[in-house]
Amino acid sequence: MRIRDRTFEEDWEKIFLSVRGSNRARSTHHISGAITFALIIIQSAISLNYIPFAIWLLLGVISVSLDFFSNESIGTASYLRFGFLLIFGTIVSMFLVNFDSIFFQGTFGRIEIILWQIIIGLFIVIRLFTTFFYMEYFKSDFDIIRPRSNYSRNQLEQYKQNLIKTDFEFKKIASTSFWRKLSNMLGGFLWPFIILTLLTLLGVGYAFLIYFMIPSNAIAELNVRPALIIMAILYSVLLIRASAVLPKTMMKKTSIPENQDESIKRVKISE
Amino acid sequence: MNSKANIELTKNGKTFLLLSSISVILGLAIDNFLFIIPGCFFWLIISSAFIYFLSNRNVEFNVSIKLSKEYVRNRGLIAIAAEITNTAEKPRFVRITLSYSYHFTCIDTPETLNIRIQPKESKKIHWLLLAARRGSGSVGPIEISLSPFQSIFINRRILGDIKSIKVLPQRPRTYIPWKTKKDLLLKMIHEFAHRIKGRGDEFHSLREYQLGDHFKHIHWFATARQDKLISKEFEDQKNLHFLIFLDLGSNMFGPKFDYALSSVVELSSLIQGTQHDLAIIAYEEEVQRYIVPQVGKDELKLMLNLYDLEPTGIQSNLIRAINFVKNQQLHHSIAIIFSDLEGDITQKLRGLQLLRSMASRIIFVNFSTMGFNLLSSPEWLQNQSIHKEYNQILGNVLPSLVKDEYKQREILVREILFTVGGDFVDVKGYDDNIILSLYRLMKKYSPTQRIIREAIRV
Repeated sequence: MRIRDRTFEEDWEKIFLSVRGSNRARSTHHISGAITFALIIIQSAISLNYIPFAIWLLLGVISVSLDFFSNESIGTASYLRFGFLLIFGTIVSMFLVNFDSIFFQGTFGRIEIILWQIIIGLFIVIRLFTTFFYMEYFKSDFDIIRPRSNYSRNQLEQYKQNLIKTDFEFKKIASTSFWRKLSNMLGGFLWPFIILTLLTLLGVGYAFLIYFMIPSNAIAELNVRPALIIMAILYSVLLIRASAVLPKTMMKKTSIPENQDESIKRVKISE
Repeated sequence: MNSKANIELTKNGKTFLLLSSISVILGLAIDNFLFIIPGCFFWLIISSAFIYFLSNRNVEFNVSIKLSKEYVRNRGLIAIAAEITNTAEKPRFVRITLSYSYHFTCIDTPETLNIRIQPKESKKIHWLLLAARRGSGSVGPIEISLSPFQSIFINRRILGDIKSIKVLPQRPRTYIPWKTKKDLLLKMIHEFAHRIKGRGDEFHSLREYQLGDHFKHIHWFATARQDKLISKEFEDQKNLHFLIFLDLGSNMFGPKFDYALSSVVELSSLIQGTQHDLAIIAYEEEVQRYIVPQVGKDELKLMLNLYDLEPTGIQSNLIRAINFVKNQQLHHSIAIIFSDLEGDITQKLRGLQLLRSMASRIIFVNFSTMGFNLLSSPEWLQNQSIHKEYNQILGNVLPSLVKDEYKQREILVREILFTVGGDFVDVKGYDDNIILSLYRLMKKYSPTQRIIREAIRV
């Protein structure tokens, strides 16, 4: 047994284990990215203009290839890359084709344009959501060390058996299912989502009411859009301030005892 | 129990906040919902994270961490048990992470687990760690992440104390039977211990009978020859006094140093339960640690004194260490130096000559062998090189250059040891063992070998 301990000490291998459900999250992430570009390419094809079609086709191929064939982990970097390609394509389309509606040449009406943009926006949202979901629960796809041969595995099992009926009795906790993780993530922002959506819909409804009530002219455009931009800037500032202030609410303030507070001492002396 | 809260917007969170704000403003400016919707969605997520934090500010957990042992041998296993109690009124789905120092690796279970705890429920979680590095390791505290948006807004409780664990030197890989160790000890006593008259069992010499000598000690044949009473005189029990010099210099590092430390500890197993003693001096530029002579030293106690020794990266000075021995007036019969042939070899040679003037037996244990020479390991370097010619140089030329240099230095050291009456011992690699190396050395002191050497001299 002592001689063969050497086998146990040397006989370890490093293996990569993926967390349960990580492949599903990864596939959803990549497919939503592919669908986003596919929809934009279809739009540009319907616009009957080969320039935006070619640009978006090229960008789509780059994005999908990088997603499916590179070993890059899903995270901030991959999302920034995706966002960069979208913004780049948008800017190029704006300058080369149509500054007003980016890549439509009057093939669609305004409502259709908005609907297309909303659908594409939703797929970008799915990709963003799966990025956070993956970073939260599946980033810990991990390397573990485990014994290689049967002898070493038996030695490890024997060690665990020896821990039975002690405080260290080894019990494996079942790994959480993919759906449980998803429901926990969604549940985390269910109520805020409902409240904020209601508020947003009220705001949007009010904005559209003004937009359709007032005749379609430059004055209507000037009232609504600048107001929304200012509101967006203010909300950004609010979020940034909240992120700085909220952690401080958890710090417990300790009162300074009298003999340590110099200002109190000085007052007493003057009295 | 220590409790701390960690709440902050992460770097990812700040990046996404900035980008989403730009995205919304840009989308509004160019009238494109493609940018407005994702930006608004991210705002929604960050707002949800803040609302979740505000509604769960007073959530608390109780955590206790237990260890299966306070010390573990390198490459050994240790179990950690953590009991987590949810003191809130609502069930919680949390992520639990165990922190531990670089001395350990998690096996069989990931260090991060997602669990659901009901209100007032206690859950026990176990981890199994493998001790990968020797030294003062630590385990704990436990991090409990509350909300599901940790990648953008950290909302964590850090609970439990940091528990320290001593990771002791690795167990030797080759098992030496006790009979071999005893045999080696007897040979060393015979060769190296000074003969002193006393009350032992070993015959020393004959002398005239003195009043009080026991009649069974009378040597009758000598008495008959000399016509007067002659008694046998016996030796006092011979005790060996080991003095070990452990080099902490710049070239003793990594597995080489760890193996040297394990060898020192294994040497102590020779004297366990006997009257022999062992002292250790760990030195680099100055003497770093001195373990006073311990009789029949227990292996475990010695390991607890030495486990946290680390090589310092400074060139070692053997002469200073030997001067320390002189100042402390340490009486010893065998000086064993655990070192290598690298660095300033002339300084080591001067040290050996100085040691000889203290009339001790010297054994130089060399760890500079290809088995330990990490940096010129052909396999490791060949994997890193991409050019074929360089590959060939690394494969064929460099190891032989290194070997040649070692050989030359070994010759110098052996010459000095020969003049001072010392011995040279190689530890060839992980498969070799200090006890076996000393056993091979002691064979040259056997009577058969002596006869052969004398015949050759003649």
